Amino acid sequence: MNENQLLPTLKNKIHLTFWNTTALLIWILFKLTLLASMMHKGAAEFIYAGF
Amino acid sequence: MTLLINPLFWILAIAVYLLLLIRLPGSLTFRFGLFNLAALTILLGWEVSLVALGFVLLVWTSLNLLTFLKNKPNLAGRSLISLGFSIVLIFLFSLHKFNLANSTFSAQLKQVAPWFPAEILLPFFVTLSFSYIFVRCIDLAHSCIWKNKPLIDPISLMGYLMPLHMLVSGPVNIYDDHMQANEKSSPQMTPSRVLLVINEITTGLFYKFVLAEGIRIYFYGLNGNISAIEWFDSFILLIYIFFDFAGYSKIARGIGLLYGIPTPVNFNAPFLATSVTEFWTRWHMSLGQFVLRSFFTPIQLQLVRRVGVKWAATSSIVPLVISFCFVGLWHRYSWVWFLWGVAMGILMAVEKFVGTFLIKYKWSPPKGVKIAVDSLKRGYVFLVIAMFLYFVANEVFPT
Repeated sequence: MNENQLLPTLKNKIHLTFWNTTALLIWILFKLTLLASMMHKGAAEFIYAGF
Repeated sequence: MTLLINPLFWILAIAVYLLLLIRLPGSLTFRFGLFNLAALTILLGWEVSLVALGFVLLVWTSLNLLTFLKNKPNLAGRSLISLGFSIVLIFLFSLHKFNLANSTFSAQLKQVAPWFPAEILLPFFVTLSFSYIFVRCIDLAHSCIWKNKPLIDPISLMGYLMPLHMLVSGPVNIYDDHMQANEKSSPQMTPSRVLLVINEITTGLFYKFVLAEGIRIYFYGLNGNISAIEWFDSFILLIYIFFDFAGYSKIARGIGLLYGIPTPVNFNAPFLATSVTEFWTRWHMSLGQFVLRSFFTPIQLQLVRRVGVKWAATSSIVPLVISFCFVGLWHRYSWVWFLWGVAMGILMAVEKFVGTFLIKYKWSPPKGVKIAVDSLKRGYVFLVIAMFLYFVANEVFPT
């Protein structure tokens, strides 16, 4: 299931189940790991910045 | 360095959240406005903050005068202030757009009008993304003058016009929603909810710094700039812009959810749209909704009153073209963007006629055929949007 399909079902819940929390934490950690490897000071500014 | 990988931005964003958690006197919008002003001062310097505060005070005073005079018989005074407010706003917006379109504009302006504080105003416009402030001002005036909504105090107004988390590029937040944030009790921030918000923010960062940056580095090199020289470039550019802009919008929305400050959703799977008309209800949705309520609907209503319901579909070409000309000129003051708006408006009117024709003749294909037709329609939408982008790309991303 992709993240866009996952989000609406989770958004309405105030308390996540143990497995939902674990899956979400793994997904967040995965993104942060990739983010750390890609982050560099030469990153292009947002396209619409300063519009 | 982009603002969102500046550690100071994140320190300030978290500080504003923590300060909002403290039960201090004053409404949510006032407290947000106050902390937002302090954060902008630390992030951008006191000069920018001072100019921003001056601009907010100008808007607030003008609207206060207009709402005060609204029910008075002084028609001349009301028209004069209304005209003056519109002229000043359009003048400032035009200055900003000319500056974006022409790199030597500031120097040219200095020669023509040496007394004009261009060196202060023009960087202020770029730093605070004045195009978004401009549309927020229109929405604000529309709410206060036509819909009789009360005007909030200047500090709260600053939080609406120049919010820290929507500083880079929108989305276009709605004044009525911002005001109602005080009336609604903000949802309790449970650990699960915080985790969902963190998920939204990290997805935004992932879109921008992994996917969009990955595409840029792969096709244009580590320090290469995005450009559209060949047709194929516009396909890459379209995907790049999606991850860049949708990523930014997710970050802004995530922070807005933490603060309890209404921050609209800006993207809803736009590449699944089966028509260009539908595409614009899924891409940069906050601007689309602003154009719909401020331009399309009022113009269409006036037209239908004049020509009758029978000609409603035919006459819709006029508000469509006007609305998209505004969207075009909002991007850049140029003939290319103006023609982009005209062509987009006409294309959407054609789609409307075709849609009406198919409904009239009750054309409904079997399920298998419908899936194939929808896939073809999605391909058509992607091709058309990329093609339109090819013509305007050089205006925004010069090679």
